Amino acid sequence: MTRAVTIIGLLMTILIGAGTYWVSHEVERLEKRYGEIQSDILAEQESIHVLEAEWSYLNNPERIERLSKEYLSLAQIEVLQMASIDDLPSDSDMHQYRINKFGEAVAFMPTPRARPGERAYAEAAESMIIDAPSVAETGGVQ
Amino acid sequence: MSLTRFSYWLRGDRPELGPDQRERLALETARNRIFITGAMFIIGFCWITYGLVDASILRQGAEPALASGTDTRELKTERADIIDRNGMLLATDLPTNSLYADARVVKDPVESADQLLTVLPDLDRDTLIRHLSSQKAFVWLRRNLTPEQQYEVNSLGIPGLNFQREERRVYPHGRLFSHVLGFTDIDNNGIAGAEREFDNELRINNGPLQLSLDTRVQFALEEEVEKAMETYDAVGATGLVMDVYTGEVLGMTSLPNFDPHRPGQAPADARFNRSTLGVYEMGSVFKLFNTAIALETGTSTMNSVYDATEPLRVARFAIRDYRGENRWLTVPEIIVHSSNIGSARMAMAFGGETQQRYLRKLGMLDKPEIELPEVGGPLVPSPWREINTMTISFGHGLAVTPLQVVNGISTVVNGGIRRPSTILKQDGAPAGERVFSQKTSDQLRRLMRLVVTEGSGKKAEVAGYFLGGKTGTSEKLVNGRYVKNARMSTFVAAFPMQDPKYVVLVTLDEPKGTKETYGFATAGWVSAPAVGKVVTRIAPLLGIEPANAKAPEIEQALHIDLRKGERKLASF
Repeated sequence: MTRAVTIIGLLMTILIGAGTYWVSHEVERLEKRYGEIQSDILAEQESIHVLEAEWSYLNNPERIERLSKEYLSLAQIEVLQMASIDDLPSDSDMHQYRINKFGEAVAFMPTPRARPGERAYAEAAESMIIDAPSVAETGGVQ
Repeated sequence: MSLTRFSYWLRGDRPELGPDQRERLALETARNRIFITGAMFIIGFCWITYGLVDASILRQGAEPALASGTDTRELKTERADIIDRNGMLLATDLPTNSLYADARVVKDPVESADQLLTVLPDLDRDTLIRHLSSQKAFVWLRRNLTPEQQYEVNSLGIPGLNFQREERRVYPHGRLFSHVLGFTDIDNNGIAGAEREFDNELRINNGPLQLSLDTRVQFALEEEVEKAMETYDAVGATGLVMDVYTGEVLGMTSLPNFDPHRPGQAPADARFNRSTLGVYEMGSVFKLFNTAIALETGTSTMNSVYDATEPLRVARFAIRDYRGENRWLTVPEIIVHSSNIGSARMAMAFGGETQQRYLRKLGMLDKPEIELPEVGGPLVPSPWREINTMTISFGHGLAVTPLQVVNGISTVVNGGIRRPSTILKQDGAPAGERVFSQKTSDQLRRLMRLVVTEGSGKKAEVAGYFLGGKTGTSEKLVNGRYVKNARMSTFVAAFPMQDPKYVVLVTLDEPKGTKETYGFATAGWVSAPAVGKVVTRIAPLLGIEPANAKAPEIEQALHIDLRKGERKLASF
């Protein structure tokens, strides 16, 4: 009985001792790792900081403008190129919209009202919308 | 008590008793001692167990799920960043390395200097040798090396040379914001512009400082102003864009500008902020304020007529019109034809005291309020004579900063409420002070629109944005005399006029006429087109939709009958 208690006690002491040592070692290791991660974070923050400055530098409007002039064939939007959907007449005439292949209504090239002697032009415009029937022709409600 | 007796007592033994009793006593003592010791251990273990249970089971609920480190470090630069209203970085600190020498360790100053010069050729050899042989523990050799230079210096392996990590202020947009941001000295102390004004806040570094400026607007403004300045060969130029409802400055440029990384190399003229420090007589732009005062005080209505048939003579002065109509003019006509005589007569009707009161309310007689150290106080006539009242009505005799004019025009068009100008981003409109009534503001909007549709500002017209403005050309005062061909040509405009959102000002200093302008260098020819171009570029950025010029509600809102007075005049 006594011997059993002694052995159990001894075992527990060893177990607890080893456990405590392991925990304290682990804590030490984690703390070291924590410190490393902290300094890594700091280093990352610093590079983010530098990259942010670079990003701002690369976003310099002067540079963007230069690149746009060099690589894009885009120009300043003219006021006349901007319109809102409200500007379109509500009784849209059949030549003003067509359905594209994705089923979206897109503005069609506005056809000038037929004047005497311009019949051919109007017909040509009409022929352009044959493969893609207009909203009015398909009877679609848009 | 002898030592022997004490020793017996200590053992719990009593020699006077018999051996049997002594034995029993010894056993009892031993048992008691073991019991007491055991009890102590039990108490101790219970205590530890309690602590263990308490720490591991009972307290668990109250503990945070995630351990919080006490030494969480965050990157803190020496000075806070400055960002624009959209969060674009305008100024930041970047780490660099600076080279210094511990001259006590340097072995051969001449040899070291020659080696160093192969990497940093722009250093002065004599100074370098003097520094290296100075026997001082710390001498700066070169601040802020590039990483490449640092590597090269390092690989020279000269003893006694060390690097000091430093931070350097960097402005990614270079010259674009030079006057607003200002600059710092080599030790990162703000010494001009916002850097100086907010020096303490930037040092404390509680997150970035957000300005009201917009990089895109600033660029469009600067580019157009610069183009105009080059085209008309002006010596300087100013551009401002302000939100009329909040007083926020969205763009502020003063040309020529400078590189904030090397402010020392720029001439003093380039470092001079013409928008806030320079005071100028703004010319006819003041007629808008004059008219607003007259309409507000009720001394004029839109249909009042004034005699502009001949120059107005006061004492030894004669007030003339630039291009005289030589007839009676209505208030809208005075604005459209920019009549000095008419404006002076309007000012006489309400008098100098009223004029001063309103100009003070508009902030024209005090230093402009803006978060910049470079502010110029206006040049106010003292005493304020009748002739001053008359000349100030058309913008002569009172010199103010362009910023004040923009703020004043914002007040006029936003419904009459004055809010201080600011370069800090605002949350909504700050509390303001009412100067003019909504009605006056409404009438002024129509008058300003009229200048662009009928008057001197036609070249600023941009279809769809309903610009309204006023030109102002004044001769420059040099040594107290007006110089005929040195002008300040200003155009200030608000848009869209049916519901003004922004005010734009462009001032050119001493523009010269070109063939395209038929030699004219007046505001209508040189500044107005620049404003128009600025508006074309910034309006889409600021989310202002171009309106249909034929929209009846806008036409009605801006309608004004220019000829009404003339008809009246006919029946006069």
